[in-house]
Amino acid sequence: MTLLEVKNIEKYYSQRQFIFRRKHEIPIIQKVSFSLREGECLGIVGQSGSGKSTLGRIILGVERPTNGEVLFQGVNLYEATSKDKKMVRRDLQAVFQNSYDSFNPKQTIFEILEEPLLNFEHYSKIERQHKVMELLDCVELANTIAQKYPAQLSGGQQQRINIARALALNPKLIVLDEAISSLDMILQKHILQLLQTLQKERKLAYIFISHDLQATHFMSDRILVMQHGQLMEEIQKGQTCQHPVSQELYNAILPSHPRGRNKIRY
Amino acid sequence: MEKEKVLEVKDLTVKIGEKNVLSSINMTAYKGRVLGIIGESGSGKTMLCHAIMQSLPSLAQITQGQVLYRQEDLMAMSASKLRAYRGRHLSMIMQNPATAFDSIQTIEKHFLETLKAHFVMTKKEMRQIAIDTMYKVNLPNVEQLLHYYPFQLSGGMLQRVMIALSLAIQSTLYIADEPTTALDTVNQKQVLTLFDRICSETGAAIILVTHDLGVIAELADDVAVMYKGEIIEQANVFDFFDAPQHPYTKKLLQSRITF
Repeated sequence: MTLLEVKNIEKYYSQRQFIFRRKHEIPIIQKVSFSLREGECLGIVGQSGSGKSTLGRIILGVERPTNGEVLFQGVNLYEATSKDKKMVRRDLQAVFQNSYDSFNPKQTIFEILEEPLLNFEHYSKIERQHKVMELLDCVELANTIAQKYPAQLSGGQQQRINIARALALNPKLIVLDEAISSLDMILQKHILQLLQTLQKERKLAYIFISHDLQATHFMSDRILVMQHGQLMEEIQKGQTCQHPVSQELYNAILPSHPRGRNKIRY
Repeated sequence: MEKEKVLEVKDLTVKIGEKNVLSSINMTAYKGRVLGIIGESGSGKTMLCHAIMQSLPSLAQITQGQVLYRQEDLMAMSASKLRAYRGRHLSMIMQNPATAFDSIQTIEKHFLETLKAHFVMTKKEMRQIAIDTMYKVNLPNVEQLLHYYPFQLSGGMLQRVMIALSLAIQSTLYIADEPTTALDTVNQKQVLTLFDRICSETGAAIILVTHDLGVIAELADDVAVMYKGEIIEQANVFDFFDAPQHPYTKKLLQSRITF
């Protein structure tokens, strides 16, 4: 079943070159359409400035596109009634690159994870406590962390709290915008594997946005390649890329062993 | 090829309060070779760079050890001599190029200021050197670029301008602290290729600090693994990937995502 449908999205930003000049319209995203099935992982790759993150924000419903529509489970995100919107908020979650910025620094981890439950569920206090512990278990963190503040945690722990919060309401789709880029290698792999297990257990769909083709390839069933706000190519899992833009990204993948270098010195 | 020592760190220990941030570090950087230092966040990689440059924060203190640049002890040097050495001989390339530049000065001004500090030459000569080195690092429209302000350039371009700055004063040792972490993969590849060229063309020594095994696999000749302020393993890059010794190194190698 189709979970998300993006139809002919366009986004322009207007900018003035000089105070007294007329405003220019700068295209950020041009005529982008795609759809996503339930439980599928779609990767979006591109260089910085290619419009990946803007597309991510449009899908999340926080940035209104200039033209086009986004249908999530048949509901148009930008013309929905407030009741529909509340439904969408529940099923559509996000994890961003900078983990610390998305927390309230004065809330404890327990309060952070409790908040979505307070907003959407009618749980008793004990049920909420159980649920929070369950979420921490889910992302393989110790229960004792619940009483700490975000600043006391490492980057990897913070990112896992972000994922746990996104999972709290059993969403159908999580948008991961450069979610692992700021972490070191051991953690990256760990979190990717964690996301994959969660995907299988809960039939989640992901939109995985990154500039790293390797990690995206590891996660996704299908990859969209973007440049200058346009979709250049769609790569199915196991297929090789044809388009020069994707080739460039492919060539930028670093070798996993020094023997794989392009040229060896001396 | 005979290996010429450029920088030698002997038994270096740095403390903040009672805590050891670096404990007895020993390592050597050779001419025309890339020494890769890999470690997770918080393992003391950046501290080591600052200790070499003698630019540690005031809280941190070097309690023992030596930092030798071509047999000269940097720690025993006077402040003015050290200032002449920084840049001219040792240059540091930072993780975030956007914060390393002065945002109200043009790129040209950065070049003029840097060259003026180290050489006696006319403005015209300086400008020529700036243009030449910027061509060398594959920047487009160089003449125009000189009049731009740092915020008008992308991260990858700025990082290349920063490398061009060190190249202009012909440094012999580059300390690159996570030079590609803030860049996307395509720019990363370009910057790494550039380092490779500098190394083989000018014979400079490069100390490359990173948390990314891919960067090490692409560029390094020797590898040192840092963990909690100590170097736990040092090896040639091929031996490092083929026969890792320490359990942490093995874990690190297993974390690679294969295509």
